[in-house]
Amino acid sequence: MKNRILAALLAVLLVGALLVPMAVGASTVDHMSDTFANAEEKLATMTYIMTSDDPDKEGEGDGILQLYVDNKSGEMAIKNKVTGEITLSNPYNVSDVFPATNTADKGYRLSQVYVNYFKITSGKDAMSTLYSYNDCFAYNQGKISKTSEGIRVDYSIGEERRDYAVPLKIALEDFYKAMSEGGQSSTQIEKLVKENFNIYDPDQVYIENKLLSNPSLTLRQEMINEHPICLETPFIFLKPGIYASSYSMEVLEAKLIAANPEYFVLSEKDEDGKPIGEKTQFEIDSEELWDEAKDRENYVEKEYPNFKFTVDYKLANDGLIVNLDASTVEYDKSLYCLANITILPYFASAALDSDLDENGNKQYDNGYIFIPDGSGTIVRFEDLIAKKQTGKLTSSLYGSDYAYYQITNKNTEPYTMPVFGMVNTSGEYDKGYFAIIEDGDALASITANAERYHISAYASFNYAEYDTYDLADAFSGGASSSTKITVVTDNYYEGDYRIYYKLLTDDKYGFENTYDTSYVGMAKLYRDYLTENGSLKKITDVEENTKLFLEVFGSIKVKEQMFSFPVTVDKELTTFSDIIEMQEELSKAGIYNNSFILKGFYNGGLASTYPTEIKWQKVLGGKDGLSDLLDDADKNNYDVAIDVDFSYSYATKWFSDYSNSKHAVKTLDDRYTTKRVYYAATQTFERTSGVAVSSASFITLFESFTDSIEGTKIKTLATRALGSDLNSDFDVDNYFSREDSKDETVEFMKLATKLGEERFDLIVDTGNAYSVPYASGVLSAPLDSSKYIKASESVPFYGMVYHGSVEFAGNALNMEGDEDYMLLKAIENGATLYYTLAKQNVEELKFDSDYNKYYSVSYDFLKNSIVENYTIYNNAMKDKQDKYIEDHRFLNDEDEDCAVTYLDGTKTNNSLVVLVVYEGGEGFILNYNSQDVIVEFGGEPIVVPALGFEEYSVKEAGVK
Amino acid sequence: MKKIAKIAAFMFAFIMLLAPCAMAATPYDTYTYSINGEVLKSPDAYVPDGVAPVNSATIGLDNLGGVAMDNPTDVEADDFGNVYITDSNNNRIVVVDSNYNFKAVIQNFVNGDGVEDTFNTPTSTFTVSEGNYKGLYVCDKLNKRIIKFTINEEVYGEGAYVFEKTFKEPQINFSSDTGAYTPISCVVDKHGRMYVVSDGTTEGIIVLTNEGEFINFIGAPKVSVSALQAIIQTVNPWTTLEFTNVPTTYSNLELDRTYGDFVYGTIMYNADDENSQLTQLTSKVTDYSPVKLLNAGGTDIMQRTGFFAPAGEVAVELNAKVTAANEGAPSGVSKIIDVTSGPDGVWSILDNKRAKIYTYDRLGNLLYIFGDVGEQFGQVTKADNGAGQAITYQIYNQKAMDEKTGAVVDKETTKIIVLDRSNASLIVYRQTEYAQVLATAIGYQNDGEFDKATGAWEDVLARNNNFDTAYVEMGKAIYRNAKDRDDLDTALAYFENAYDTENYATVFKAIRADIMERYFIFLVIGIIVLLFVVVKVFGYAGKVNKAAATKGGKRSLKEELTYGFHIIFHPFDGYWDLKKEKRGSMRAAIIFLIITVVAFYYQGIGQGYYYKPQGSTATVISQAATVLIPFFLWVISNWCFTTLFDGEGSFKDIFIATAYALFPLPILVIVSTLLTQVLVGTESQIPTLIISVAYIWMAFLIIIGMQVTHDYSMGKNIVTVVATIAGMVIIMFIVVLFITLISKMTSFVSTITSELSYR
Repeated sequence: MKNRILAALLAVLLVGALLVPMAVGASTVDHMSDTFANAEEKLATMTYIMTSDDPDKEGEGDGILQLYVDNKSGEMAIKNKVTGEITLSNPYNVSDVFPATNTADKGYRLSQVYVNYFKITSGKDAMSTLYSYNDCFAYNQGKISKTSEGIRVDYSIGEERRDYAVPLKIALEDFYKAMSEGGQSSTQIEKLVKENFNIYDPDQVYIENKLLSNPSLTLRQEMINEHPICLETPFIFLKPGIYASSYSMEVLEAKLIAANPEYFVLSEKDEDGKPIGEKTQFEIDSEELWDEAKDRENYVEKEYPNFKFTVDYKLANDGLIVNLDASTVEYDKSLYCLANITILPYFASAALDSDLDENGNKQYDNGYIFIPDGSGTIVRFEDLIAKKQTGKLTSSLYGSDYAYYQITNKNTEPYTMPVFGMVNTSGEYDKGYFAIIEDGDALASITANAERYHISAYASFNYAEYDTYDLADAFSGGASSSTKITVVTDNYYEGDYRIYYKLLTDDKYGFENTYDTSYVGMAKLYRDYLTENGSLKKITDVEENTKLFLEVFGSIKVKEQMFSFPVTVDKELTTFSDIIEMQEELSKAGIYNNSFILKGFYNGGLASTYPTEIKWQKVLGGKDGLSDLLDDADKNNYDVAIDVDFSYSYATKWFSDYSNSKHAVKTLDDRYTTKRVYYAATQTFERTSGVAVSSASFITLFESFTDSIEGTKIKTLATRALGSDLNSDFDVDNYFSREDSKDETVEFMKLATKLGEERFDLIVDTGNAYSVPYASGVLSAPLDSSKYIKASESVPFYGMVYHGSVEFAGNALNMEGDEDYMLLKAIENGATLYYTLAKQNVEELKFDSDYNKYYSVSYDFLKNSIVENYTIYNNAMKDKQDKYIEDHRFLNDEDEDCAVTYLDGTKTNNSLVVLVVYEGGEGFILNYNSQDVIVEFGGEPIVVPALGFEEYSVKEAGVK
Repeated sequence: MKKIAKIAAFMFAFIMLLAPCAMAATPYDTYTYSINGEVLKSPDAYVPDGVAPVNSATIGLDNLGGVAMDNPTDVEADDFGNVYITDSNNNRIVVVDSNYNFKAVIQNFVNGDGVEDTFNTPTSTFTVSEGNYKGLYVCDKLNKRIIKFTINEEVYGEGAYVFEKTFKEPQINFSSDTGAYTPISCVVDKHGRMYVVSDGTTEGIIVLTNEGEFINFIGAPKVSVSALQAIIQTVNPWTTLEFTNVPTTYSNLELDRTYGDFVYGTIMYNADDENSQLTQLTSKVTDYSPVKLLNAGGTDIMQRTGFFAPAGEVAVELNAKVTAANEGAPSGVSKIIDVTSGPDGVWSILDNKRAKIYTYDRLGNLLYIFGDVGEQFGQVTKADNGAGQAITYQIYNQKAMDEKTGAVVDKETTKIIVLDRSNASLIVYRQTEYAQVLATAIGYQNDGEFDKATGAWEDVLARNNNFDTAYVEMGKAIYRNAKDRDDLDTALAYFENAYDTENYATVFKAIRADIMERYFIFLVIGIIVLLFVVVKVFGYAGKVNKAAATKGGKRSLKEELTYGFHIIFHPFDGYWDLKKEKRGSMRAAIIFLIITVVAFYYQGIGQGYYYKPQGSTATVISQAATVLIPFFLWVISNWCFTTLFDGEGSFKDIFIATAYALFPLPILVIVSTLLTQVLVGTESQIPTLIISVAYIWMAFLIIIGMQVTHDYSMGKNIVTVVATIAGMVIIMFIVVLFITLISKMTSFVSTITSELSYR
């Protein structure tokens, strides 16, 4: 925490020192109507800012990228001066594709930042959006300045309504006097009055353009009753319609100032007391009149939400770094909630359905968006057209936050990596970018966006946290509707939101050290990025055989009847000595590089109390049983990990170091919360028994844990939820945002592993990006995407990044609906295998509602299948454990070099046959079809069985 | 009744809370229900096949310059794997081959009169793949006809389907004015009979000859007339006894694949009746049967021996409270929109509300439920008209390479296809190994090969130890072939695992018989010893009582307690002495009360498996409450009334008298609880009977006790007893009212406070 503040301070100082006011000629472009044929034309209207620095050279400005900006809209362009390639922050063709009158859509496309906000009193259902063009640059509220590294934009989004020097209510006489003194003729004045004011004069009632020269007595009486003052002082009222429109007010103000400048006071005074500054007030606007006015409600102050913050755009030699310092965010926090901020929603956007070609067919760009959905997925532009699946595909990073009441990610794979990217292959050269969210990632969500005419990918960041509750929950009556209430936090994120956009360039330009414009290139880029910053390290020494993760269940509480009295007993599922036997048996079958994860071996078995103190289950062999097992593991060289869940508490105990009140996560309405799972039968989220524990408490509680296992030779801990779950803590006394929670989790993992020293190895679940650097193994890693209908294919991006550096496995194979399919996915991603097992009494699991989801864990039954699957897998993968994945492609008919046919002779056109190549050119052809296929791809045709694979050597086949 | 339903719903909700499911790679969880309505996760039976739904683009309609599918209404597969999509709004049938590649479009055809013809809003198709009636039948809804095409299997594109015959509107006298012939679904059985559902017809399914002549209506259940109605109608000369049909609107038909002459029909129920449907769902009453299996005579021959009637979702809540956390979740009974028949007598239905597929076997056992609403591949898009429109099994032979020989052979493939109407696409699900193993077991079971079935069920259990049907079948098989006691014990354990109390009882009796046979001598000795002990105890009590009667002065606690034995057999004289001679005391009364609480607690926790298969939820508090609340209500209420009615007993007297009257309860409750350990099945009446005897005995004692204590005449005593009971009710009512008011107040205040603090 301290470090962060220091870093932030430093950053502010640095940037501040380097700030140079920018002198730029005003752009003459009319953004709403000027059209451009291409990016080059657009670039020609922009202002050159700077050239990047080449990190390998000493001088300044000798890099290959150049930054341009449009100072009236904030649009940016990055030009590669070697290739001429131009990357725009916003599409250049807005005036082409949208009709002249559609200024709203044009403005959206011209914006660099969106803010989503709602008025606190209206609740989150009244969410609305403001755009940096429509609501900032259109009002000239954006300030662009040049910094040493790029530009800085101070956004003030949302019209800043000022006070206009227009009288709201004024005595008629005063107004005539003021105007005539300024030299206006009475006709002119009359016109001005009638156009803009309602007149309250018993002699000439004139309301809303209707002159009643002979006002009826009743009307006259009514007016006098309502405004008795008009008998003494006839007066005029500003028309509400004029008041409501900033534009009308501005016009009127200009007219009045022009008519008689003398009558306007100036807003400020200089040292000598001489008025200076803007003219704000009409001198003779009389307050008494105003106070008397009964219809003042017509002039209810319109709301002008306004959000101010600063964004730095820094040019690097390989792209653009965008940094929004959240501590600069300013707005009226008592009235509004700034829910989230979207940054560069149209960066490098591609065209969708924009032009007609000479044959009258609609055109679109070729390429795809990459999003880190599960193992990674690509959204091909042509599929968006073909499937008519335009719209948005959004998910937050790192899974659900259970501190919130509403959970949405049902049945989906988590986004574990803070990255996204885009490839556009339609021009003469391939281009694209790969974005890494470097800071604020725990608050980020990533969107693939395809709406009218433009396709893009972007990141949004939560700012103020809010949640919705049902008040009706308090009533026990069966009300079928509920009162929802939105609660907004008092604590705000103060760190940075930073995205690094790295541009990808077609390799035909022969750049060295550049990455291919494809998801494979992106994966390599990210792998190198992580390796360079020390987060990943390539595995150097490997065991002969691949690792096999075996999760084993300890004991479970069972109700039995003894002499007609019910008693709860611990029933053993797997004892310590069972594990030794299992290892022996598996070794005989050639499986010895095993890692046993012991779940439910202490504090009451599977439903254990919080691990601040550990008592090993007697029925499983107790502490001695554990020692024997650890000794055997040492002797026979296999791993034993203890599953300890610090993130959730399943049962509480008195006089324990853990207590909910001290350590549990609190929601915004100050309650405890539990993990929730999507429940298929009701199709809703249901609570589980695990109370979420605040990451703020991890380190303290961990100390109690280490004390209590002193003397045992435990080397590995399976702290699984650390890699998969990230919960905020809205405790009023100790607020932890999700980003804080992430930082604290990392701190905890650092401490537990004590990098450099020998402490614990950690095994985590899922492998959210922040946890992987400290994990020795990852379980339940996403090996497939969520398969959104809007998306195209899953790609093994996860495997391409992590295989060769981290040992990871997908879900337990025996818990998968389709073992064959998941085995293929494991090979495609380079994941090892993982099983969940119990040796005895497995039917007891059925009676425990928390564990009856484990419908098939019997080791005795699964033994053969484990041996079979492991042998297949190990033979394929054992010599590739330390090899990176080098290439990945879909083999289908569309590819000229290859042909895939079913056995009945039909050609396939789908993406169900893939090639994955490991370092050294050895690889596999995997067939996800439910039928056999014949693949012809540089060499003899190969028959690949249904849901099977064949080894394939790129070198031997001679393909690139 | 409503309250019970609510409690039941709450119980379901409670059970569900405890059963979370883990995320799997398939975008839905597969599950089943246990006998007691608990949701149990199951291995996936079907998983999405491929990477994306089959739609106009993947079929290749777009590339052919064709029009994309619009509002398709039906999907059907033939035995060669060809799939027929009724593209209703485009007035055509789109045919794709087994790989879902374009095969043909049937749109314009030359009809029997040699004239170019087209469809007008076709709604469904049916195919017969072999035999005399082979062909493709299309329900041409607004043209009021069914058109048959010949299938040329090997041909793609033009000529694949050639017009053969039109079945014009048959002559039908619809009784209701809603009746008009608008065919929306049809099947043809192996005898060529045609079954047609006409839109909006309430008289049932129309049966036509193979030439399209009307035969009759079938499938509308007759109105059952109550006895009273029958009498009125017989007596009243102006009415005629009439058995009319219940208006029944069918929505879809499917031919039973196994025998080829039964017809599955789905019925549209009125959504307003959901409340009664819900009750019927849980109580297994079969009046509510959204799917029927009809024979040619129109009789529903569906077997419904499963744990719940085959009607889709089981754990449903009506008008579930919509909270911020569960917005959009479906409520109420399933809306069954289509049915399809698979191999081995297995059949599946599609719930349009939940986009879930429920699969049952021939006997009506629920096998698995899968599917979900959503935007992922394998889920069905939710739209205004629900999620999902039609479902079909696709069973055909696929070319595969034999692993050993390398030769190309035929391999049977089973898939399920769901039509996502709003997305105009097909979602294909492929069978997993688990479903295959399950199908094998069912196949053996259907064929009566029980030994083989046992092996298969064992395999099913190893893959899914949550599957109750398998436990039951295994248990039955083992019991059938039981050779010794161990086998019986094993069978018993299987039934216990499935909470199957009926079969449990059968096996338990066998085991009991075995034990009795083996240890008969010991049993006899045991009973004799027991009787001896009982006689001794009573004898001893009698002796103590006799001695105490004459002793006078202060009595010991032992004497006061043993006096209970005297009172329960000699109430008149016992109560007289109790009051006048001070034979009992407050401390003894309290001890009796405690003994009763203990006995009830024992009853709560100690009943045999047959009575409480899921274990006990009784706590000391809950059991104490069942004893103490009525006890004190009685004492207080009685005291209130008798004070008014010149009763002679003080509060203390009433308390003591009532406590002594409780004495038969603990004795008999303990006896009955012990008996629950050995009595099962129909014998379970005996413990209940004993408890009833205890209560009657107690009531008798109380009445006598009150009469003696207050020195009332019989008539006055009865009046006060009745008044006391009424008083108990009133006190209860006031207390409940008070508590409700307080709780409403508290929740009101807390809501206001929380709202104020959040705003």
